[in-house]
Amino acid sequence: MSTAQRTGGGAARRRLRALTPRYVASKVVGAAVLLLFVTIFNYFLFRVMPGDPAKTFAPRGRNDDPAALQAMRERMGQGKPWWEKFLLYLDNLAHGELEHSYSQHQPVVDAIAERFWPTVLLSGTALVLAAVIGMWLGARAGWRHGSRFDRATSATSLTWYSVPEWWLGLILIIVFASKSGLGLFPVSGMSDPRSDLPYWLDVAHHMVLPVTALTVVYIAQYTLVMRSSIIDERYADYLAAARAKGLRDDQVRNRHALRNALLPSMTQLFLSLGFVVSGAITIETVFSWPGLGLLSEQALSGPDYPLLEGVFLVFSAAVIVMNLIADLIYPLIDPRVRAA
Amino acid sequence: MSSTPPAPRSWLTNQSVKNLRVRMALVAAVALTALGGVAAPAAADGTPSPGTAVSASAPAQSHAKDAFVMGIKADIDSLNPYVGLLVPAFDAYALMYDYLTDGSPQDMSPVPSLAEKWETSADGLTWTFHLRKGVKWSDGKDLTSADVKFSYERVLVPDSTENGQYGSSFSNVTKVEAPDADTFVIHTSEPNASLLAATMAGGVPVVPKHIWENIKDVGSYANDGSDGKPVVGSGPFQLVEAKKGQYYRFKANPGYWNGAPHISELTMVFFQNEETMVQALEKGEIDFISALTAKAFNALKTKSDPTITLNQGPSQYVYELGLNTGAATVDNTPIGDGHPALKNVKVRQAIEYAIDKQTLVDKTLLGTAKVAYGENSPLNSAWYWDPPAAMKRTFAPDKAKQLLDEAGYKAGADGVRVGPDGKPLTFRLFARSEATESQDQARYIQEWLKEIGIKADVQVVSNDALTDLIGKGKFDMFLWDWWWGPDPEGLLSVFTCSQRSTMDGDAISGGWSDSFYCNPEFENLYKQHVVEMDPAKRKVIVDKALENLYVNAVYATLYYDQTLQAYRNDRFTGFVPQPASGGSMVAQIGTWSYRAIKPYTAPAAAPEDSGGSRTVLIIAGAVVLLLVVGGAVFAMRRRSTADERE
Amino acid sequence: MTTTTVDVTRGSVAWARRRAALAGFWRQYRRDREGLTGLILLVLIAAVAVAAPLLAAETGLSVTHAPGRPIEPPSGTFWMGTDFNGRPIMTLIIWGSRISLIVGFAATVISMVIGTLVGVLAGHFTGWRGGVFNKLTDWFLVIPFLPLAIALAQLFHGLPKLLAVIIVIGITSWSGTARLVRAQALTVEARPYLERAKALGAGHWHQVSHHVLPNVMPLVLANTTLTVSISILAETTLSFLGLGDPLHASWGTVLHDAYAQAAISNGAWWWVIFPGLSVVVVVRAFNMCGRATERILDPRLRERA
Repeated sequence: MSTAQRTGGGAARRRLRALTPRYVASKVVGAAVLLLFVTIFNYFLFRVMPGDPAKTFAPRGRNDDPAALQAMRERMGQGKPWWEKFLLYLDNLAHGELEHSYSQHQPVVDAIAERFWPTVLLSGTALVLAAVIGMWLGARAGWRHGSRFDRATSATSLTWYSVPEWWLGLILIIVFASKSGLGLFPVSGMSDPRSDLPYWLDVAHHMVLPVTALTVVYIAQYTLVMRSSIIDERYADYLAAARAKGLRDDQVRNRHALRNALLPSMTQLFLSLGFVVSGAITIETVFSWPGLGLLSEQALSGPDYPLLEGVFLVFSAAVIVMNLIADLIYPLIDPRVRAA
Repeated sequence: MSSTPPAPRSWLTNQSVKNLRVRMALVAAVALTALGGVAAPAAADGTPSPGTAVSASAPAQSHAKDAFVMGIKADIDSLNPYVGLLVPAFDAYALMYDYLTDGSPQDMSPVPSLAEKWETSADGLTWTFHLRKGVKWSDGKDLTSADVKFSYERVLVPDSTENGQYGSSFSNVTKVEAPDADTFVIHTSEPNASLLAATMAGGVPVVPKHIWENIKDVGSYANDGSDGKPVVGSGPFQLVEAKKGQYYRFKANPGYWNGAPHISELTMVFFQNEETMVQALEKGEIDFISALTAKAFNALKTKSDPTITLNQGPSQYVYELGLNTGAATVDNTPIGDGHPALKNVKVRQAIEYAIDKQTLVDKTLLGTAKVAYGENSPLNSAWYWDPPAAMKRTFAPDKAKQLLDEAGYKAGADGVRVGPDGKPLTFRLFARSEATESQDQARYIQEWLKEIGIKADVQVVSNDALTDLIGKGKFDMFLWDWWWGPDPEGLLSVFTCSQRSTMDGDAISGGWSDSFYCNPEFENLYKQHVVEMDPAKRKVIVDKALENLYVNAVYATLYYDQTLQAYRNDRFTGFVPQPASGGSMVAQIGTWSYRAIKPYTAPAAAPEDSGGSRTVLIIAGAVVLLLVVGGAVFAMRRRSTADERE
Repeated sequence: MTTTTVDVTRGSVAWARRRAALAGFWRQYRRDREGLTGLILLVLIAAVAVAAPLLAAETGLSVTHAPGRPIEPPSGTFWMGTDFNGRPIMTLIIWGSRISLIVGFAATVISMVIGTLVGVLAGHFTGWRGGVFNKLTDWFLVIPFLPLAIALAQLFHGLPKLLAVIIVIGITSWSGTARLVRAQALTVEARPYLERAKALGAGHWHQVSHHVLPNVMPLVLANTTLTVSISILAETTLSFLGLGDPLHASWGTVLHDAYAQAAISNGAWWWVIFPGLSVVVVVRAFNMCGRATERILDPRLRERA
């Protein structure tokens, strides 16, 4: 739909005009409002959750007396009026503090900080790989639109897209990691405390299977977007002009079509960046990858509401912030804006 | 460091341009992962100064054959002994700290540890512990009675974190004192038969006063070295590296008073997922798995890999079908909406008769548990009571139907019995989302109950939600389990009137009772057993109490679970089971196995894996690789057509 | 559903026009190889789901009367092997197709209704009211699906699990539809006949139900096929995380059982492969249909096809 706008010069002018202080301010304010909205919703969503966490985390079979249980409840802030708790929550949040995790026995912020980078490493790598491979395949497929390669690429990538990534992960473990399989890669975790490899290589070794599972499943998004924008460009008038100049077919593609067709894919990539932190819950569960996804899965048993709430906030905030960044630099990377 | 050798200069010239592109893509991919790898150390521990933790771990890694690695299915929730609640956490505390007494490896009875000997006064009110001399903290300071007194005193502070964790057995302790450096005394207001058990491993750990007196907020202290200070303990191992969600490394304490361990390191690696943990054991990435499920155990059993030894022994977990015998608060106000029929003991007994416990165990646990009748675990052999054969309610659907007939519940139109009040026998049966086996078992019980005319409406809820429902009395039946400690006081207290829910205004908060049992005769027995100091007489009382529970069908106790463990016998040997007959090899009362195991040295040719599971590879591989190959074929075709064009 | 009410009020001329459009659509669809393949697959799967009692005896779902031994490999009797209870995997997949499809469709209906409603309202209303609906859409677009679904699953724990799963998927997946519908509604709003309707004093309800909705519906329906596939995948994933209904065999719960009961370590590959492949096939089939429909309805794509 947006491609219709992209063809005329009017759209480019609109964008250039758009990057004014007013535009920037409106985007920032919009993001801030969204963030506040998410925070409030998040807070109350987790307050209406059922159950008595004090009882949950005092395991059965050990006899706590009611007084101790009450102490635990008070530690968890139960018993105060809701608005007081909410204001306290906002105040803490403003200071970069969240609540205390029942299951991890540490501040939610610390628990999240420990798990943040492993997730970014895992899904970020998969995202970049999926984008690069996907765009490459999409560009070729779109250029040879209707060819056998095109059909095969679309069919294959869409089939992979239909695969639940955790199921693929399980099968990769069977084939490439298990003893009855090839046993080439570690089955689980991010590093092996007994490994002889340098740390970074050990981590890379552990990354191969989960990254593969994620990459393969997500390639289709980029293939399809790239393919359709290349198809759009392929019939544009300026390419005919380029061909008339006597450029070879692949030169036309690489120098002209690809450059313009890159924009929607870059947008797609930017929008996906925000989902990097939340994108690998199931894969992290299957591979025991110590990231935020695994943390959310761990928080589910209990459930540990403060932790779920914190993870959830980080997930949403990441998307909002990345979208804001995309909005702000989108006008800057549009080649037609630069040309104008 | 770098494992990729520098590329020879001729490398570029030797390649066709097409291959070069492929290579560059590969190099880019490797570089990417490499970048990731470099970024990771900072990431993994989350501290602003990654240098310290990493330098402690990465280069100094010992790949020695005597580093023992075990897989754990639940992450250690905290290394702070006053906060952690999970089994591996308590295992870690036992590694890091000492206790006044230990549980013997034979039968878990109290044996000396930090206390070389102890005695009770004639009136049973004063306990005197004589401490071992020459025990040192890992920072070189002496461990004295001041540390012991400090550790116990903080547990006595009402409503403190420490009290919440360990205080339950000390409610009648009036004072603790340290008359001299080697003596520690506990005073109680009345005899306390379960006090000694609380001084064993798993009970109050003795922590260094000079460290812990400076810790302000005990509840949120991590005790994992993340504040830059080493973790000081006196136990056989010391924590050297903690990576939440990944692994915990402990180094052997060479100067341990009870002899240095024979392994240099002990690492607990966390697995979110049992399948991968089993694979890791088979591949030798780990050496030990401490708590396998029946199905995973079966996998190792059927493969019968000679390098893997399996251990199956009794545990302290007892699984029951809980019944709502009439929910009420401590002041006898009825609460909840439990089915009134369950107040009738005949209905409760009929339910037990309808369940084929042996089939349940055989099918859902592949026979790895023992059918149960009495409530206490046989592992607590001193306090175990099994009903005489005539009393046992073994599988007999006809008997169940007869009991229901007697109770006045006649078959209704749709096969569901209806009571005299016109209410059909439809019970909610709660299984737990965290326990897959309970969901499986609920299906069996549902089908068996259907045969005697009871409709079970199975619902799956989280532990948390179920705790809430039980506390409010909004349930009929549920599947859950208890872990019963060596002393029977904990078990019996759960069935006392005072453990029922309490009501504060409209808010109901649950006690520990999940049956709402309140029986005067049982109350009496409970009170007697608490103050009876003579073990033989106490045993008679406890037996009567357990019999009372069984006769009144408070639960339909289903089975005694077993500890299922597996280890690589080509790596380590010398495990000490507790109790001696097939007991658990880790997560013990004490650190018997951890201190005794030795690396296995005899050369053993690793035999080939049995061919059966190769099928897994072939089938699954075919599925995965089909499309990969398909894609490659198409890519090649395209390439050839592209070449033709050019 | 909305179209029929509109048709009745507009009389037979509109009905005939729509029938002709439908016939035209089918003519084009028939020639789309991908679309046809997908449709045939879907019809087959739907037939299996409907005919489940004929294809596999319901006793195969019983644990106490299961016909097989624990984890039997595929054989002449049990084509896809059995699980630990001795129940044939094929029976579970056949009966599970009902649950998977019901969840897929029911969640899609919820998602489409919410998405269409919010999208149309966001497009129709100007000013702050439209802004609110627009912000709501934005907001649901930024919340990562799976975490929200997990959180909501906790919230709805009191409902029967299957219903909870349907509602959770429904209310987490409508934002894409809303965005699409809003864009379409905006173009419709700009058309002269709507100006005329407004000038003639038509109320909001009349404008939306008579002019905006009928024009938006084809796009919504095309989008449906894709939403169903997403919902089925979501059900599988939620079940895998233990948030599904373990008491009703769906493909997701069969896979969850396999995972939770160490099927891989036990070498019971049939327990993992077959339900997984079923998911892939049905999701792929919906994708095929969705893409074919899109090609036909989106004239920009049609020119090039």
